[in-house]
Amino acid sequence: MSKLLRGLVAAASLILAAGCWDRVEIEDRGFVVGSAIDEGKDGAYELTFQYIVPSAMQGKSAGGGHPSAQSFQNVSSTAATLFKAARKMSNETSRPPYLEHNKIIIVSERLARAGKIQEVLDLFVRDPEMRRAAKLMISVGQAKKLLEIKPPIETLPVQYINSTSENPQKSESIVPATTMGHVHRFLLEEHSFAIPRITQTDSKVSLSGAAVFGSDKKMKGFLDGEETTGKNYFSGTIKAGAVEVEIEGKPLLFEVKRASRTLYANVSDPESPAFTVNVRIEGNVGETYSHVDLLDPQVIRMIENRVSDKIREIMYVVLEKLQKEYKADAIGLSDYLNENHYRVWKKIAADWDRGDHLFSKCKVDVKVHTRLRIIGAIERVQPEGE
Amino acid sequence: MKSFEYGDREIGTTEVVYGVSNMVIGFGVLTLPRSLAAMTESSDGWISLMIGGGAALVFGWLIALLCARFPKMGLSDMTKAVANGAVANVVAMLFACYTFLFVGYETRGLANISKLYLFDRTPEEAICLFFLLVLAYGVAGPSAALLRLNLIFLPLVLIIVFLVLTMNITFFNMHNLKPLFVTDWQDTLKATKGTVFSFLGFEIFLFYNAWANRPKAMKKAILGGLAIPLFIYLIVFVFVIGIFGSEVTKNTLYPTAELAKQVEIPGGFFERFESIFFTIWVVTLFNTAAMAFDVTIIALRTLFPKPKRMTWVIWLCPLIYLVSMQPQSVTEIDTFGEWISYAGLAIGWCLPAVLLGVAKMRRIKGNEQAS
Repeated sequence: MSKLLRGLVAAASLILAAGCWDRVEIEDRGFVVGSAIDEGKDGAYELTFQYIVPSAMQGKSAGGGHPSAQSFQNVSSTAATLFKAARKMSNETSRPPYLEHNKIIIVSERLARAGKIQEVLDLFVRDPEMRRAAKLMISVGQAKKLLEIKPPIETLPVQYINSTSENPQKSESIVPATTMGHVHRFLLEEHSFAIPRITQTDSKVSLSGAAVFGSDKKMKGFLDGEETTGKNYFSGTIKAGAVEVEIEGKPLLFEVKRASRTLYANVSDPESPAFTVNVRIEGNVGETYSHVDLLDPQVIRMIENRVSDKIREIMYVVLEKLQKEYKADAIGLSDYLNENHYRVWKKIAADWDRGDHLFSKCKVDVKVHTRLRIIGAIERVQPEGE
Repeated sequence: MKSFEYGDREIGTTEVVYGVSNMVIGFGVLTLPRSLAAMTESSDGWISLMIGGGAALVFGWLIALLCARFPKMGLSDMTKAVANGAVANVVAMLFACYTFLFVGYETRGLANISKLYLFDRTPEEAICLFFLLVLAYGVAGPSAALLRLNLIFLPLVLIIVFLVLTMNITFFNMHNLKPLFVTDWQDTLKATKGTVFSFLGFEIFLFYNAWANRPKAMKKAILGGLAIPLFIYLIVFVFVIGIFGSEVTKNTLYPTAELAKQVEIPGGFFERFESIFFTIWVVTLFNTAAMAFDVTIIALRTLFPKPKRMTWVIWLCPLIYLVSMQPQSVTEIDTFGEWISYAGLAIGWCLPAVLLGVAKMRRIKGNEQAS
C-alpha cells in the first residue's frame, strides 16, 4: 500500500511540479519589430509599435494565405511615459507587445531637439526584454510616418529601413548604424555624437545624413549627405565612396576603395590643442568623360591631387559647421585626447564642447593622401585626340 | 571491467582542480566587471584583478600547505590536532555558519538574476524554493559524487563563456581599452577588495581534504583551480570594457549578461542566445551552492555526529529559505554578500593561515602514513 502511495506521490509531483510560470504561447505574443516615438500633447509621448501579422507574412513567402493582407500593423498610443503608452496598447491589440525582436527605434526630430533622447532611451536599455542592439535613428518630421511606408521589395517597412541602414559598405553618406548601446555610452560619457538621419520621400526612405547631438544631449542639427561624408572621413568610418572631380572640364569619378585616418595632437598648450588629421585614400577610376591619358604618371598625379583637394574641402566644410554652428565634437577628437593625452584631457574635458568651447577654437589641419591604383579595365572609350 | 572505479569515496586531483574553479566562479563573473569599472579608470581594473588573484593564490598556497600537512583530515581534525577540541568545535561552528549564509546568498542571487532576465512573472519566492529543492536533492548523496559533478559542469561553463566572448569579437574595440595606467594606486588597491572577494569559496576544500587521496598534490590542484577563474575574470573584464567601454560597464548591473544578450546569430533560432547562457549559469551556481551546503552539513556533523545526513538536509532547507528571503532589494543583497565575504575572508582564509603558523611553530604534523 505504501508502495502505491509513494508511486502516486511521485506521479503527482511529476505532473504538478513540472510547469512554467512564465509560459506565453507564441501565438499570444505580439511581435514588435520597430518603434517610433513622437511628441504628443503637453509633453506626452506618442509611441508607435509595428507589429507583424504572422499569417500575412506566411502568405507572402509561401504564395498561399491572404496575399492581399497587410503584413504589419501599426498601433499608436499616447501617455506621459513610454512604459505607460506600451501598456495602454494592450487595450487595443489582441496580442500584448513583445519587444525582444525590436530592431529599430525612430525618434522624431522635435523630441531630439528638445533634449528628450535620454528619457526616450531609458526604457529601452533598462527593460531586460529590450536589446541593446536595436538601432536608433532620428526622423525628419514625424517618426511614425516612416513605419507606414509600403516597401516593394521587403515585406515589412522595418525590414526595409533596417537593410538600408546596413549599406555603409556602398555608401559614404550613411553614418554607421548606431545602436541603443552606443547611445547609452555617449550619454554617459557626455559626449557629442552623430546618429543616422532618416527622411521620407514619397514611398522611399533615405538614410543619408546624420543628426548631431551636443554633449548637453540636445540635437544641434542635421548634416546633409555630403557633410556626413566629411564626418565619416574624419571618424575613419568610410568603407567605400565616390568622389567626383573635374579633369580638363570633364567629370571624372574616383572610387574610394580603402580609406584610413590617423590623428595626431599637439597638446603643448592644453588650452588650444592642435590636431593633424591624416587621411589616406586608395582607389581607382570609376568613370570618366575626359580625354586624358590615364596611363601617364603625371596625369595620375594630377587626379590624385584633385581628389585630395576635393576630400579636404568636404572635410573642412563639415569641420566648420561642427566647430562654429553646432559646437559639437562629433568627429572623435575628444576620444583621441582621452586615449592618448589623458592628463591634459582631464583638465580640459569640462570646457571641450561646453563651457569655454575649446573645441570650437582648436586648430585642425587636414592632410589627405590619395593613391590611384587602378584606372579600370580600359583606357578610354573614344579614339585618342577626337 | 572497471565498474568499481568510482565505488570509493575518494577525490583525486582533477576533482579538486575542477571543484575549486567551479566553486570560485559564481556571481563574480556577472558582477565583477561593474564593480571594477566603477572604482578604476578605463581598463585599469585588470591590475586590481591581478593583485586580488595574487592574494588568492597566496592564501590558496597556505591552505594547500595546511592540507598537505594534515593528510586525510578535515578542518575540525586539524584544529583539534593543533589546538584542542573546544577550539575545533568553535571553528567548525563558525565555518558552518559562513557556508550556511553563503548558500542563502547564492540562492537569492540566483533568483534575482533569473527573475530579471528569465522569469518575468514567476515570483522570487518560487524560484528560490525550486532551487532549494534541487539543492536538497544534490546534497542528499555523498560529497564525492557532488565533486565529481564538477567534471561535467565546468567544461560546459568554460565553453559557454568562450562562445559568448568569441561571438562578441566583432563589437570589440581596442580604443575602449585606452588610456592605460591612469588610475592612481589608492583606487587600484581599493578595487582589489572586490576582486579578492570574487575568489572566495575554495576554502571549503579544507573539509574535503578528508577525502583527498593525494594530499601532496593539493598545492598544485588548488593553485591550478584558482588559475582558471583568474584567467576567466581577466578575459571577461577586458572584453566587457572593450565592448561596452568603461562608462557603460559602470552603469550596467550585470555587464556579462548584457554581453550574452547582445549576441546575434543570423538565422533566427539562436537569436536569444542568453537563454542558453543563463541555463548554464544556473548550473554552475547550483554546483557552488551545493558544495557550500554540503560543507555546512559536514561541519555540523563533526559537532553533532548523531543525526543522519538527510535529517540535516531537511532541517537546514527551511532555514536557508528564510535567510535567502531576508534581503529586500538588490542593494540589500549586495550588502549581504559583502558581509558574507568578510566572514569568508576571516574564517576561510585568515584562520587557516594562523592555524598553519601555529602548527609550524609547535611542529605538529598529521599522520604521515595516511598519504
